[in-house]
Amino acid sequence: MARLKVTAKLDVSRRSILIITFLAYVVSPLVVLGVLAAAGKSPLVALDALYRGTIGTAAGFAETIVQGTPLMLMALGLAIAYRGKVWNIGAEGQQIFGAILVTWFVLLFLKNPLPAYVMIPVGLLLSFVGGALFATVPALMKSRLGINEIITTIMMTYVAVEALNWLVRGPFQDKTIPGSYPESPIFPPETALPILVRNTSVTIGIIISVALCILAYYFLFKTPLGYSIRAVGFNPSAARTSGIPVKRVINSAMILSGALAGLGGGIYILGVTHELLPEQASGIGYTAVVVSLLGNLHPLGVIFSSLFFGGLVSGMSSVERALQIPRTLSLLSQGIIIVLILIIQVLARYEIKRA
Amino acid sequence: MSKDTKNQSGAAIVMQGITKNFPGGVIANDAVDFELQVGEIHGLLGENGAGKTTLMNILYGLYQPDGGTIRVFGQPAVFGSPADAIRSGIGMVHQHFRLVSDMTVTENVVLGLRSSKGFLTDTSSADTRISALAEQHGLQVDPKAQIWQLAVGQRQRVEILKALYRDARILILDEPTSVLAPSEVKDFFKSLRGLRESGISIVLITHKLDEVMDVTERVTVLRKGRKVATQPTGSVNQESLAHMMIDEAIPPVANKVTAAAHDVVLQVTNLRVFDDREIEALRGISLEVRKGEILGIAGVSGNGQRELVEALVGLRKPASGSIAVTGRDVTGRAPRAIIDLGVAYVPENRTEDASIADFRIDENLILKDFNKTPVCGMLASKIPTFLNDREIRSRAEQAVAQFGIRATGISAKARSLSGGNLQRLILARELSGSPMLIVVSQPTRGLDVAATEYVRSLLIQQRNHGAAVLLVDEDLAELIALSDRIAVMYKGETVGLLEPGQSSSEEIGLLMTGAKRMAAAA
Repeated sequence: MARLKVTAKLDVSRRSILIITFLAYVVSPLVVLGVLAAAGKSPLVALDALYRGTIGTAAGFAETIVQGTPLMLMALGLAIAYRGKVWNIGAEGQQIFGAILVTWFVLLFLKNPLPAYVMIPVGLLLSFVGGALFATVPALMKSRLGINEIITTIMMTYVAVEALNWLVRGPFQDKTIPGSYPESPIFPPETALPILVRNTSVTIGIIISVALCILAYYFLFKTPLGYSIRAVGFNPSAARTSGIPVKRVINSAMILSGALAGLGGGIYILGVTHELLPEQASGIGYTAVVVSLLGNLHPLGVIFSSLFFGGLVSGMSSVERALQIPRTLSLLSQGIIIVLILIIQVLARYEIKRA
Repeated sequence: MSKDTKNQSGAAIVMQGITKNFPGGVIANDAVDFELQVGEIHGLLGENGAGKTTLMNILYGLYQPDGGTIRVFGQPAVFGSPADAIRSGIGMVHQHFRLVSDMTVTENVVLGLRSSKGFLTDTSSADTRISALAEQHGLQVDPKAQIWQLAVGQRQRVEILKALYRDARILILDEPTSVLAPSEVKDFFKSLRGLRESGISIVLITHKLDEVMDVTERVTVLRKGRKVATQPTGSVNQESLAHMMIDEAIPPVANKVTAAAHDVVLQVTNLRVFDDREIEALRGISLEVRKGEILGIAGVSGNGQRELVEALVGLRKPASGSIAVTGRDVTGRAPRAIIDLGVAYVPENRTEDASIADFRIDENLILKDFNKTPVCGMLASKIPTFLNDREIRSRAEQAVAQFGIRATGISAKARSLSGGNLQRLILARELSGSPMLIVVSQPTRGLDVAATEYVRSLLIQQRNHGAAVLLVDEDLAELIALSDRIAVMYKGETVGLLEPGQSSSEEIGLLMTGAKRMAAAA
């Protein structure tokens, strides 16, 4: 048997990474069709449903964007943090806290809302600030006390989830509905993000998200603070020796990533649910970790990986309906696709030869 | 030299026509032949980037050759990994040790081996065997000590013991003396001779000519990936070896203009500093460096030099005392503030402290002024905005040309540079903007002859242009050649200060080892 030898490439061109990433995105869904075929389902029907649920129909495409938008900002923030080797795992808690702050603000003006051009910008700003504030705690714990941020961001997420559960059953609960559902009152229309495409739920959220990704690209690669974050991530010792204030940079990266996650939560609540629900804690902040990695921790890569993920969610639910398969099988397929892409992305940096 | 202990004869290793290409068109080895006799110490000599380490990494199974054959003790061998090489009796000690610092010597030695006790490490029998091996080969080290407690020389012994424990009959040592103090080198060579007497064949990778002359039987010289010659050491001398190693003429050290008495640039007064283990590393040191002079700091490593340097550049907070640069007190200030006063720093550890391996050359060059004009645009001449790509690029092109950094381009990652080229890059950055004070540590360690000469001439040039230079160097000959005055450190204090003409290596040697102390020192 021929032995295979895997060695790291010294230099990988940006072009080959792009090509391989693209191929990974195309090939791995096809593997899933194989899985469905093995489960006795027609791969052709599945392929057709997948197509219609993503780019094949206007409704499918709209759903792709709606699913992908909140992920995009959260993954973007994480990509910035991870570039600085700041392992923020708490985008979930940060986006929840952002949404909580928005809800508090909206409920203040529930009866007499201000005009939309005040309610929406202030609401989004508050979600941004909320995420930032929530990330400041683990940031300071890391930079001042040296406490591992992976642990603190996860623990902070528990705090956010429980706060959410309490608020929707307590201070924020809509008392006007009999039966006391755990949810806030429906937000007034002045707070709803403007719809971009008629008859869909696609809002200006997607424009904001894509624009911020592009801005973040310039931030990370063309500004001094972005440079510092990358320097600290690659080699904190050399960064410190060169006079870069490492702790301050770590704080900035963590707080900025929390702020973007919070904004993601704000766009979700003002663009999709229009009320605070326990389901705000859907685990989307954890999904964003994967999405940021799928996007190679690159702000522009995140645009594609989050839309891809949105398409995956939307496409697979279309497959679910077409094939009458259980939700678990669809989730299993999504998992396989993600793992495949991550494997291919890593392998792109290696070459396989016969030993 | 007696070789009658060679009870086996013949070749331990025969490598023929070894070729290795790296991406980017670099040919690291071009049809190289190499032969190691049983029971000899064989010097493998060449400049940085000549392909010595690549050749030996191939022998050790770390790289697979693109062409050529290897025979070990007469048997054809194909090594897919170091595990294969180890099974064939080959052991390698890398320049950078591969030890787990929180584990004991024994745990490091048996790491990765099967234990007779299944999942449990059989430490007691391993302890015994390690002690026996150490005794037999003169490699004394306490098997129960943890690696972080050991000095560099002892760690090296652990690496060698690791190989011997795996029954290595062939030892590859990659620049083993580069981490050792001069006094340790002698003992180390004694151990090498002992190993040879017990039948171990040794490849000594080095670029130090005196070591080759001192300890080897034969020497193979590589240059730019090709083999130049293999000769018995008895038939060569340092001049002929140097000639084989480099084909270009070495630029002579720039003429040293005698420094006049000038203003004091760096004034250190009664400085006390603690090291990482909270032990007092500097015990009230005072010194001054004047404009246009090089003050050399001599001392066996570990006598407070590193802590002194770190305190000077703001990386370590002094416990008491003061540091002033051109009259301004900078005691306890952050690195940024000290850099802004015109203090350049060329650290000992180039990859760890002075460069970012995953950054491009142009990105590495702006590490200290990426947030200043003209590298960075300014809003209202105060708020940094965007990096100026054109400025960064033109700066990098100029630095690459001026300092002779050999690379595939300014977009090459720093990790692709050889040691000498990385040091050129670091100097290009640190010397830009004519610094007032340059703190330099081990500037030529591990560099080839051409790069060494270049670095030395740059330091002299800076001094002649009026910079104050504080030079910490374990290469005594270099220190004496470059310094105007030499301060000798011993156990965190200056035990001597030698003025021009006074400095002989014997004198310094006595001071460094604590055998003598000058009354005037302070």
